[in-house]
Amino acid sequence: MQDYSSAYSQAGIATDRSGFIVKTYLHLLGAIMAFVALEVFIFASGLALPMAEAMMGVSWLLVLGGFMMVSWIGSRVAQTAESKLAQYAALGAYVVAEAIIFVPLLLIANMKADGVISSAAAVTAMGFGGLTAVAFITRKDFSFLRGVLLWGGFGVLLLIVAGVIFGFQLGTFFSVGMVVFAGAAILYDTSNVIHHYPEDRYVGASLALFSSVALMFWYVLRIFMSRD
Amino acid sequence: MLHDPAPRRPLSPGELWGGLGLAALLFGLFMADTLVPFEPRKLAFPLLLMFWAPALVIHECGHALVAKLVGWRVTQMVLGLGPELLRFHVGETQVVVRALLVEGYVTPAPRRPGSARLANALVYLGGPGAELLAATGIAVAWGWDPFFVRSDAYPLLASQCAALALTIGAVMNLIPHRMAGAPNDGLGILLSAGLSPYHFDYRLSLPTERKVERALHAGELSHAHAVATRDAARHSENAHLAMLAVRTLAANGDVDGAVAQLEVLRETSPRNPLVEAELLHTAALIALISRTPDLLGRAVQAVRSAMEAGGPAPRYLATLGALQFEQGRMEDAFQALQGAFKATRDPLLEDHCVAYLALVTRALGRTDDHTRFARELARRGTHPHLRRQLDDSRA
Repeated sequence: MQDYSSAYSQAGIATDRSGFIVKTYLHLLGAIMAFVALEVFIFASGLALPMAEAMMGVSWLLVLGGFMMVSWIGSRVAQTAESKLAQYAALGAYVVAEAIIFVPLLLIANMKADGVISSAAAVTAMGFGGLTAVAFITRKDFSFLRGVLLWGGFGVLLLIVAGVIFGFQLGTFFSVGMVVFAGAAILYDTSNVIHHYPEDRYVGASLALFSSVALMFWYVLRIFMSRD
Repeated sequence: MLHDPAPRRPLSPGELWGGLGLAALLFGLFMADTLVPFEPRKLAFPLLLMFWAPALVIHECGHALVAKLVGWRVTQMVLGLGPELLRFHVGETQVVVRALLVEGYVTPAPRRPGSARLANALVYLGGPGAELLAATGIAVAWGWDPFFVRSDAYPLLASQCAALALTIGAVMNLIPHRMAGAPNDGLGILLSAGLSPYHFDYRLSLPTERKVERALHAGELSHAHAVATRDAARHSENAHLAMLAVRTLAANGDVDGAVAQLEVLRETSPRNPLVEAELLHTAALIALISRTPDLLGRAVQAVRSAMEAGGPAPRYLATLGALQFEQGRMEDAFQALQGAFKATRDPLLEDHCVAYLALVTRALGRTDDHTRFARELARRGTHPHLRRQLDDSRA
């Protein structure tokens, strides 16, 4: 059974919880740095083009399905495994999977316009910072967003599957919707970090935050690319 | 984002409207994407959403139909999530329609004692099977090959979306996993092969248990006892029905008689983990009814043993939470009741958890959460004795 004793802290963020929060954000920073380092390696070593060609040569549904499977297993292991080693392995596998799935998008963005990646990263960082500040300053429990995120996520998958099967492109409105969706996910995850995660689950908490940040970055980048 | 570490609790009006507003914004943006720039095939998204509800109905009717074909009864069919919109009967099946038609379930039960592994697997297969059959039927009606062509012709597009919604529904249900603690269709089919005959005795008793629970929650104690004793007499070999009769006897005030009958049952019942767990759980429920301090401590041990023997079922956790509340161990009670509330989709068990969580959160001084659970308890209108207790504690 989970530990809910920290769930309803009436006295604000207790001091013993601040250690957990610091660890979570340090792990998030580590995950982002590992992601950036992996992308730099993939692009500098010349692997990016063959990887992108290989991924774009097969059905996008297969790529997406594989990514979802890795995400699901990684998230589950990071949240439930007792062993710290297994939790770190799950976070590592998730970061690698994200780094791989981003390759085609980053390659196209890099070829299309200089600076678009850094601009998208800056906007994502500002969005993440703003939403994190909202969650920490208001201390509102955003766990009520779970239903919308769960069923909204299912709707998004349906839309992506429909796009691949019926052969239509998803446009700017979809990307804007996904940025809103990712923003809600960041609020939800941050609120869970503040109020609900058991204090030994900082690896899983950082994985959840990392996946929401990556989702926002992906669609901010798509919006930037559609403008240029 | 997949994992949910937060406790489950009813939404406040502000949260409800906030969530609905976000959902409307997302839906509006995704719909706008299908319209600008417009292509007929982009209608696939709203069409898939539109066909999801009929696919759900076909899925649940598939389970029900196969259950009937193998000679089982279907006591309940629930379509959707959220607030209840409609409740009616088709034969002996109570059909409940809720606001969000995204998922559902049926409650099938065998009519006769004995093992029914194959029937169980077939009932699980009935839902996805019906969806795949309907999807295939649509494709065949179009002449198969012409069906698998990308087209902007509306009738073909609509048919393809209907078939796709049915196929996605079937595939999602066939990938083995657990939903709210219960096996989905794929996992249910796999687990059927290993089910013991005692499992089917328990399943046979479920329709009676639901009737009895409903009567107990409404405070109709003598009616609950009458139903339990009648069905226990009808299936005298079924230990679960006998335990239900014992429990209702205690609820009607004869705790000593219930304890004596349970002792007899313990001696005569078949030895297997499921029956052992249920005997322990029934003992704990009798102690809960009696509210005798001496018995409560032993009852907590009994439920813990039941969880070791039969697994941490949400109803065991819910009973543990209620016992801990009676012992005044509010933080433990909160954790156990939250564990049960999060893990169940059974409306009757939810009623139990909501009622006790209203009391526990009040005792813990969690005013905001108490208000939510008390409002939810009033809306559900169950557990009159616990509502009275809540009113007394306020006074």
